[in-house]
Amino acid sequence: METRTSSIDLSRRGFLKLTGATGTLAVLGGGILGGRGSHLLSTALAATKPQEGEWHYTYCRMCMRGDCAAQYKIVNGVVTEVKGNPASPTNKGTLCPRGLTLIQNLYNPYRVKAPVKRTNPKKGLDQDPGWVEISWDEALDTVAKKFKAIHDKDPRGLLVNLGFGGMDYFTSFIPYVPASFHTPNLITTNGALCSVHYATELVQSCFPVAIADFAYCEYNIALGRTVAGNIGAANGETRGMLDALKRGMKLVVVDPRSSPDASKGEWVPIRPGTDLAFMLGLINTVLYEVKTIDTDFLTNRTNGPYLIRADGSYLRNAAGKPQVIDARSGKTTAFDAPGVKPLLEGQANTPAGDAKTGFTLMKESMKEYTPEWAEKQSTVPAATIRRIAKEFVGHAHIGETITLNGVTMPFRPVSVLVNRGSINHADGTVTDLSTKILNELVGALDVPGSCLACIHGPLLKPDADGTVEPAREAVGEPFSYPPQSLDLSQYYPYRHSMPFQAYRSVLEPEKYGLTYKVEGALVIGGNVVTSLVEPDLMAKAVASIPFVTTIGYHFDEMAALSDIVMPDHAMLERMAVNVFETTFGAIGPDTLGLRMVMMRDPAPPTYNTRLSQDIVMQIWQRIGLLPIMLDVMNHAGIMMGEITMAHLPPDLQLDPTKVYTIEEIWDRGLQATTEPGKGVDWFKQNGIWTKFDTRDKCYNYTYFPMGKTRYQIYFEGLRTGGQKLRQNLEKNNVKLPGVDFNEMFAYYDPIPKWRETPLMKEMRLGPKDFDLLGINFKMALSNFRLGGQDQLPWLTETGEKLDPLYNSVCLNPRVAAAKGLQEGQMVWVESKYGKTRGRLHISEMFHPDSVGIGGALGRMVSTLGKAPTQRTHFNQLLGAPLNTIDPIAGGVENTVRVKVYAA
Amino acid sequence: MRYGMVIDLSRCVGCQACTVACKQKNGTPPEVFWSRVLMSETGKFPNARMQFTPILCMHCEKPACKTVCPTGATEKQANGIVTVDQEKCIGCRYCMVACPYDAREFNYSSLKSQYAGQKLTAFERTHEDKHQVGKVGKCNFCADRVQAGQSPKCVETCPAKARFFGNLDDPQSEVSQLIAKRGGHQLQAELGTSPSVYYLPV
Repeated sequence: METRTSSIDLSRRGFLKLTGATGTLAVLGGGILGGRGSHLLSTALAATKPQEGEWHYTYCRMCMRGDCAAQYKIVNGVVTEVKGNPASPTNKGTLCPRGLTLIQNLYNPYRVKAPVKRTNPKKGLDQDPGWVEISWDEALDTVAKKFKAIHDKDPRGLLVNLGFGGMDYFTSFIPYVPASFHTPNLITTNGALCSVHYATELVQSCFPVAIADFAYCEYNIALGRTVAGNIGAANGETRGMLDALKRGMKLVVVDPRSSPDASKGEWVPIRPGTDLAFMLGLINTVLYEVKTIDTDFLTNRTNGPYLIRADGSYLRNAAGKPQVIDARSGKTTAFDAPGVKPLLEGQANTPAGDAKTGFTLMKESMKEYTPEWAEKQSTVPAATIRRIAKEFVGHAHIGETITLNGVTMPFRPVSVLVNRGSINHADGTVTDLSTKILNELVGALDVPGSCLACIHGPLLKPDADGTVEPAREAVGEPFSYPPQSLDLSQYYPYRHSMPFQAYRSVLEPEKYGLTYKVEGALVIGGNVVTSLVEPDLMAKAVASIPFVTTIGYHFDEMAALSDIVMPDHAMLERMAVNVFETTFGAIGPDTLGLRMVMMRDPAPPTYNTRLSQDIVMQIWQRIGLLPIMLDVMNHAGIMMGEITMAHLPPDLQLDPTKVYTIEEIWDRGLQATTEPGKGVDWFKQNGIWTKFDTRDKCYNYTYFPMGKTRYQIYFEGLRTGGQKLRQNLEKNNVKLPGVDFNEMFAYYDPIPKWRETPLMKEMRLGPKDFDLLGINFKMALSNFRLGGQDQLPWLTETGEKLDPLYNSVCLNPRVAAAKGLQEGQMVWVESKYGKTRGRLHISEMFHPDSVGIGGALGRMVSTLGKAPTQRTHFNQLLGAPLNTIDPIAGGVENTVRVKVYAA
Repeated sequence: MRYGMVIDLSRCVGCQACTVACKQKNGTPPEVFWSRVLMSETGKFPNARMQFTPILCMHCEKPACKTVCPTGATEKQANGIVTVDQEKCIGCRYCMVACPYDAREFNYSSLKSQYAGQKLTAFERTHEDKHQVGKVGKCNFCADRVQAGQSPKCVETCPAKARFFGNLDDPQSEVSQLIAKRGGHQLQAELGTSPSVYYLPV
């Protein structure tokens, strides 16, 4: 039987279309008070009871990567050891400090141990909820009754808030819950501070990201990005990076702070928030000074030769095809005319006016961004920009090829890559698009050594205009007026995640044109209060929702504001599946082509907890929606990993009239993903299933080689999307508070340009005592609050005792001296949105314009222990009014204007 | 047979996985670290970088701790591992004064939970007997794992593959080869205790 998995459109619209589901409730043998699911849990437990003293297979998701297969041992009923699975090609038996701490995630006295309900009707972070323990039946019945009422009145009234904590490697109910309940309001807490997908989705048709190729790369520029070492990534990326460095790869880390990654390569300090200037300076230098580019690639594999009219659109012939100048005749002709030899640069005189090629327009636009100009904006010396541009082109091996597994393809072992440090600014998506341009100038996309789409397959299929079809978010949500979603995704069609807007809409729906009110929320592992922006406002919004139920691991801020808390398993107790078929940072020789399926053989629960997926199905069963949910799973597939859906073959399809545990469902999904017969029992014995694609298949060039498709280098998709969106907004007279459409749509420019962002404007016009830029960065001991990282003592104590950057406010020595501040003293860091206190650490490793607060620390409730509340809380400094975010991807501006003063 | 360790400073990224692995393996009390990574920085802006120095008991050939131990609780085994017998230890802490590498830790109280103010967790209870009040403890190169043919937990877990373990008496062993080929050096070699832990340069 063929393995049938696919990358599937997970937009809500896509799912509703697939199911053909209508609004009718099919109440089958269930109803609110019938169909108890509790017997299923004990059956499941009995089946999975592990043997004493033996190793059991599991995997780690203490950070959101979830790539590390692991094992744990039980002795006398206690988990005594956790280690990496030596057979796993990703982590090869290793584990980072977070994975090792899975044991403390399990034996954590602050866990929720049984279902509880609130008895104090007042909600607030300073309120004692007055928890009273209730039975599972009472909890599920109460929730189901409330949700059914919402569903019957207006299903949009249910807000479903997920987060990395509940998305156990994304095999959660992202697709099924909103599709079966018919609410458009699925939001994720994660993603607002890491909105890094649009450019790769638009240009390389790939979700989630573009990655480095450490198997072959010779020169990698990492811009605002953890390469690997910063988090001690055990999944092969740290090894890959170090091995590449050993064989001579050059690593250039452009970052306001020096870091473990930067310490292995070259650190290029940069003023926070000016990454676009650095990129434009590099592009200018390559075009005007180095003047060596991959003309072949640009001419035949990009839309650079396409002629552009004065209004920015493609010049099309009568048949609607984009036109190019044919070098043979000097005349304009269709881009795909037989034998055509397009000119990359040039201008055509047409009856409608002059049309220049997209490449010409882009090149002309870059002329003003000299290295001297870039130095002024970014503080990166012009000489450094020149040198890096020269080195980048020098290592690109333009014109060379490499043959892998008998397939010959271009060899371009350079890449520039970005991540949230560079992308989460108002001009962040523009910055990301500019990195695509630099890579394209030397032909470094989707070939060995270059900037790779992180997943491989025939992604580069051209559309009718001959350019790569965009994927996922770059396709865009359809417009509607009035808006349907709390997060206004109809107005931000390319957005990644805007939970801050969803909760603002909860408080003031009319202000945003919403015609309904939120009546209830289902929260699973997502914390908008602590891990997002404007904590007090978010807390107020959550508290205002009439009925909130949280499926939670510990009594965090979301639980504190809930009406019912249902206890989630700890990570080792969660039965779960995950498919590794992409990395988020870099592929290496060990992992190139790897597809790995992992499963957790769960440890017996310590407390009266359940799996979140089973809880949701038990609620859905009581409401009468379970048959629809199962039907959606049959049509859409079983979610097995971030981008992996397993379409069940006919003999494994679910019977919508039956009730299943999630383990039974994943058993089918495992078989559909691997082979028949390789379900839960096989994975209990074997732990992982691996398959390697041949190396040629790992580079998407081989699916659409030379001449068969073109990348956008003139970002027409962004331009037309913006144009249509603006037309729709203006036609319906939409007013977005504080938003000037001229400013907003300036960013929807097919050519990346420098503009003063709201942050820069603040620096220029605002009070002068706010003279620094606050930045956040990942740390190995704290890269998320996932798994309770900020609560687990092996991580927090190690950080506090051994890492000077942990829980510190970091300042450059000259800045500290000028402010009369000393090492170790307590200081306030204050922005216009809020303030936080911390211990000053003076370090040469920080740009003088920056204040560095690392990790994901800080809490606002003492039910997680006293220490977490006393740590510095960067999120207090952040805000996300609509006129400050990246208007394309919806990302929060993560660099914030602050002042620092003695506490 | 003389067990030794090699730590490649060009690979260490300071993630502290080794530190936590040791805590997990040994269930050491709060604030006690038998293995840890010292983190510092070097250079002036814009040429500043981080430095990482993982340290642990050096299992010296001429251990100063053994020389001063009045009861013979500290012993050097035939395989080179320096061990502490908590039954014989009287907690005089002379060894802690003598050790140039700060490798030893003293148990000032009975084992408390890492979760301040909470009862011992189920996991912590499994390690309760190993950390007697008023006795000294330290890294023992995971002697039980080594005996079973495994490497120490810190070596197994390192995500950077920066740590190596083996027989220093065998010139063909991985550790001996690394030291010879890459110029492995000891910390504070001039103090003359002849550590069995070597470092490869950054």
